[in-house]
Amino acid sequence: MFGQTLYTQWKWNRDFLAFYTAVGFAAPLVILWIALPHLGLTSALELVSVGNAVGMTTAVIASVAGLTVAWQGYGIDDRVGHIYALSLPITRRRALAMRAGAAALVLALPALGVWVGATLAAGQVALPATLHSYAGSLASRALLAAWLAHACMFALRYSAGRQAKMVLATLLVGLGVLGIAVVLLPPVRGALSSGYAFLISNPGPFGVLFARWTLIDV
Amino acid sequence: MTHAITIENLAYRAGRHFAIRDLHMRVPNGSVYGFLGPNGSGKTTTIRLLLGMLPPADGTISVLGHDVPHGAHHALARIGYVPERLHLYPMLTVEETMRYHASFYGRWDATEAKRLRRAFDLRAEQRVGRLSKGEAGKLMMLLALAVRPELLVLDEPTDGLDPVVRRDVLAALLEYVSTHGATVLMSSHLVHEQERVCDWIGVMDAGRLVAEMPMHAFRSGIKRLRIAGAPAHASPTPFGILARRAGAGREEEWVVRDWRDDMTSWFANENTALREVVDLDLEESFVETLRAARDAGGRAA
Repeated sequence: MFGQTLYTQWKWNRDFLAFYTAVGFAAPLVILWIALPHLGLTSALELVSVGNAVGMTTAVIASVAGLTVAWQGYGIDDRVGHIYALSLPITRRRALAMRAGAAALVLALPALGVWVGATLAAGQVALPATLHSYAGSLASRALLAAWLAHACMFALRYSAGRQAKMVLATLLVGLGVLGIAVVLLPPVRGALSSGYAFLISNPGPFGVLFARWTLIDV
Repeated sequence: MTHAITIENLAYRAGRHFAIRDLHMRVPNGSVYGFLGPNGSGKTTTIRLLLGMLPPADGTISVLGHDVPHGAHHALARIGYVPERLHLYPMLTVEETMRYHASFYGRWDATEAKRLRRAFDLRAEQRVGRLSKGEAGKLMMLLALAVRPELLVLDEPTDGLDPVVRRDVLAALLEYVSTHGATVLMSSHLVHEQERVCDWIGVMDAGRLVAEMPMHAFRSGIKRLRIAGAPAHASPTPFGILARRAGAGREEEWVVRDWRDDMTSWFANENTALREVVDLDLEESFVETLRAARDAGGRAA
């Protein structure tokens, strides 16, 4: 049963997965090939900056991959009114768990692309003794980021259904209003800043997306 | 008599303009139950409620002995379902769809599925999204039958199919039912099709079940009577009066249900002349039943 669910997930998402895997693989190599000749490779700081650029690009790719897989997977069920999914003889909880599990597995592909690309890219650079490459860590974080982004979009889509776009827009507008409030109302700035910091820094729920991502570091 | 489906006091509301109210329905075990009603009468909603796809606002639903919606997944394992529109994943092939479907059903009969695929002339590698309407209808019927269901729930299964495909689909259905003795609930607005295959009938209108009876009672019990000198207020009748209309001259036309030939004596006792008893076909019976239900609903309102 799960094998067949995984297979359908693969068939739904394989075009996008192939794209994100290729981009995840190519991004570290391309960034290093573009950046290195111009930076001169003399400074450890410059190398760390390039590593950061790879890390941030990887975070974006992983997040978008997670969001896309969740959005697309729901869309296919939604197109047939969820009738097929609801008519199968399993509980909704189990159906959702299998769908989320299958998506989590296929999202390993872009992370695998990142790992291979980052390993090859790191191998192109003669790192000073003080620096190390972290291709494995970067790929692991890419996987976690993809899962997190997927989980958020999956929860939003399956709980809000057709209204997901409206809920998403409301959330974004709400964040914008909060940003303005922070600027205009100094008394609330402290509380909001603390909340924001909790959300985006480790071990906050979105820490994996916003904390420091890098391929090359000390 | 035991029942494959029992619905009591069911209520459901969808938006401001449509509601199912106080619905009672019993589908006897082993019957082929025709679920008739005009478009928008609530047939599909009722089917989705009894399959656990929608949560009822009130009432109880029991399907094959399981409470729905809580035990819907247990009931669904014993049900073959064909919805009114193609509900399968368009990017899978016929073969992949069969494999996917089979993985959820312990009762899946792979041999029968292959036989039906060949009988229906479906190509294994054909993508579901590229199937014609007739092929899609056949595939949905194949999936419903290959799970060897005890109950088949078919929502307009032949709607929009050409006569050849319709005959193939109905033949496969009847062959399965005659071999396995399964219960069938089949919604349709194609009255003549129901007349051929069903032995029970339920008529739904505006979210209410306005009639439920064996097919023979529906077919032979509803008559149009031509009467001369009808009393303004009839004393209690042994039959039900669905409609009463003015005819030519002093004549009246009554549409009655539960009619038997020995009831002609009632008119003699009332000093009323019964001129003619006209048999109605199923479609006319269906229309008269709906008209009577709407008149009664209008009076009640």
